[in-house]
Amino acid sequence: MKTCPRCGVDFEENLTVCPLCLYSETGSAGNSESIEPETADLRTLTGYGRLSKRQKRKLFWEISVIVLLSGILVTMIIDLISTGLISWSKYTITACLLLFVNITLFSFLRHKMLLLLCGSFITTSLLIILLDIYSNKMGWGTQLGVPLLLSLYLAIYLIAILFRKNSQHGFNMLGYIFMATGLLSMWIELCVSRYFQGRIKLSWSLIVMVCMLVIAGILMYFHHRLKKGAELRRFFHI
Amino acid sequence: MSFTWVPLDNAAKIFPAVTTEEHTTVFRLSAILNNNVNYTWLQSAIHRVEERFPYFRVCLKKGFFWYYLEHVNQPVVPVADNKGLCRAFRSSFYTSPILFRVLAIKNLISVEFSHVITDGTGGKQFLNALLTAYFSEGGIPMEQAPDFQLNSNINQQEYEDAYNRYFKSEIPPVIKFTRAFHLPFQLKKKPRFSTLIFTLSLLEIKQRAAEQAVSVTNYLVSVYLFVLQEIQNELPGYKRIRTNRMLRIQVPVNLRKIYATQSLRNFSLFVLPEIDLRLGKYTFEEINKIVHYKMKLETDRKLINKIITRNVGSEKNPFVRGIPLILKDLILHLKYYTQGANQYSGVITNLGDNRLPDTFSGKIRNLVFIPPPPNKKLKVNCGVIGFKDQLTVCFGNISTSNLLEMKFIRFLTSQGTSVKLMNY
Repeated sequence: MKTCPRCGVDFEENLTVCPLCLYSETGSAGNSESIEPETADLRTLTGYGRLSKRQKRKLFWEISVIVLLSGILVTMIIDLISTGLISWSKYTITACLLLFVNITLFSFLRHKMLLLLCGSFITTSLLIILLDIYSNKMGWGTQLGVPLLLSLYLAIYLIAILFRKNSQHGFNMLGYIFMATGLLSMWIELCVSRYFQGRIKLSWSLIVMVCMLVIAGILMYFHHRLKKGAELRRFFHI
Repeated sequence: MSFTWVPLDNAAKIFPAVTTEEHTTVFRLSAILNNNVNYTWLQSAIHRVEERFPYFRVCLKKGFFWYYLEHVNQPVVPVADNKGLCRAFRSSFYTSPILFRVLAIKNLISVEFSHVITDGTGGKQFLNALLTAYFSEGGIPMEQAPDFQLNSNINQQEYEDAYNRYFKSEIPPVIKFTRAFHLPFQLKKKPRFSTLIFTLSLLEIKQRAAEQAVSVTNYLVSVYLFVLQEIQNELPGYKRIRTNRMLRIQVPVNLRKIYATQSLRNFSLFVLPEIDLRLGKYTFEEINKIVHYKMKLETDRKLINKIITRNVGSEKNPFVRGIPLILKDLILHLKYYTQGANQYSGVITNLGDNRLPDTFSGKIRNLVFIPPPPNKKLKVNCGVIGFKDQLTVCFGNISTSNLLEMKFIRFLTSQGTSVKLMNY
């Protein structure tokens, strides 16, 4: 009998790996806790394929910064040379800056969802407002653009939360997306009617919502049926 | 084994609603052997025992109205005991775990059960069967543990919901309890659960209990209440007045001793001996007297019927049955923390003396019972099990203070009982 130096359990002589804790004398056996995040960063840069995910994200961010900065500089210089002032290039500069902020957020705040979405929402709202200002301030940015954007971000946040909270991701997630789309369409109609007609009115979006609910219900049903392979009696026992 | 799924028993219905990563509702029973665990014997023993206890090889599933247990057709494998005590059974992507695990490390074999599937008695019988099978794999002639036959056929009664069997309608409802005192300790940082385990001489503690003319369980409950009284009295003036002055201990009672059933699912209820500090300070002798009579009165069959009726009655209520699970979870969670956990100041579970056959009991040094991690209000609880000439007491604690345990031990030693701390 051999005794495992890690868990202290006795096992057969002919085994090279402890069947209980998977400790191996050669140190190669499957211990899932072996790779530390620090060591991942110290890997040598011999090729893109060998890079860790974090390193890949950093590389992507650096390339994006170079491309966007070049874009800003080039358009600004052309604009200055051709018109003598910054006129049309302000659109590309603003869009590039927005892209830069969003890429930075997505590259480094992937796991802080709320912060990421808040940052992205604020910058995109700023873009809409700036575009509104550039086009002689018609007011659509604050009255229509930002509320619609807010609802979109809220829907994304809600779906992301549901995705995280649910241990099972299948047709149920599709069902949630359909329901969120229905709600979103109602909100869009609400904002649009208020902006253009000065009153709140719901018509086509209600039909969309009902359709979405039916589809979502069917998807949810399929999800539970497929997931459990169980009888309805079991699921609905009262 | 005929079932593919079963509804949860009455006592288990609350557990999924209140289970968290910290409040896991998982308890553990361990056997400390004289020698290192032999992996091959253990694996074979598990294989034999899991066939005998198919109703434990289940996972928890969500229905629309209730949770239910679904049979899992996968073998149970022993796991290395290196990740902390009484961990929750977490569901992962499209899989739900079997609600018990067998763990091993060095000379320690442990079983951890979710309270959803069984109580301490069920767990104890499983451990006894596992140890019987383990040692028989090692060539020791198989002699069955007195309370369970490993080779016997599976009886349908073993997985019945015995609460339902003994439910009688039209019995008056139970009187509600007032709020009880709770230990004013701060919670630890996560992971919170830790234990302090010590052993007592069974002979000595029996003598001390006999001096007070009470049972060992009642004696330990009295010590618990006495210590709580001391802690309450030592609180600074303002805090002492502000806190509830009712000290109440929850003592689980094994209903199998009162009702004829072989069920190995949950079948216990609680007796709540109490002292009211508004009436003045109690001596230890007075507490013993109160606990003794309260325990006698409240384990009366008629009174137990009343509690079963209250519990099962609410489950049978058509309105309650029709509430979707998502709302039931919320209501049960709120009820547990606003009513259930408020009613008592401590819990002490005594699984009693565990007798194993002489052929292999000499190969086991001791048994340990670790109760499920206490809830945030309770903060400390206690599990007791007897084996051979020893009584092992385990305090589970999620707070930063060990005052209760220290006072408990100090009191026992002051009464002439020798206490040995165990390095678990």
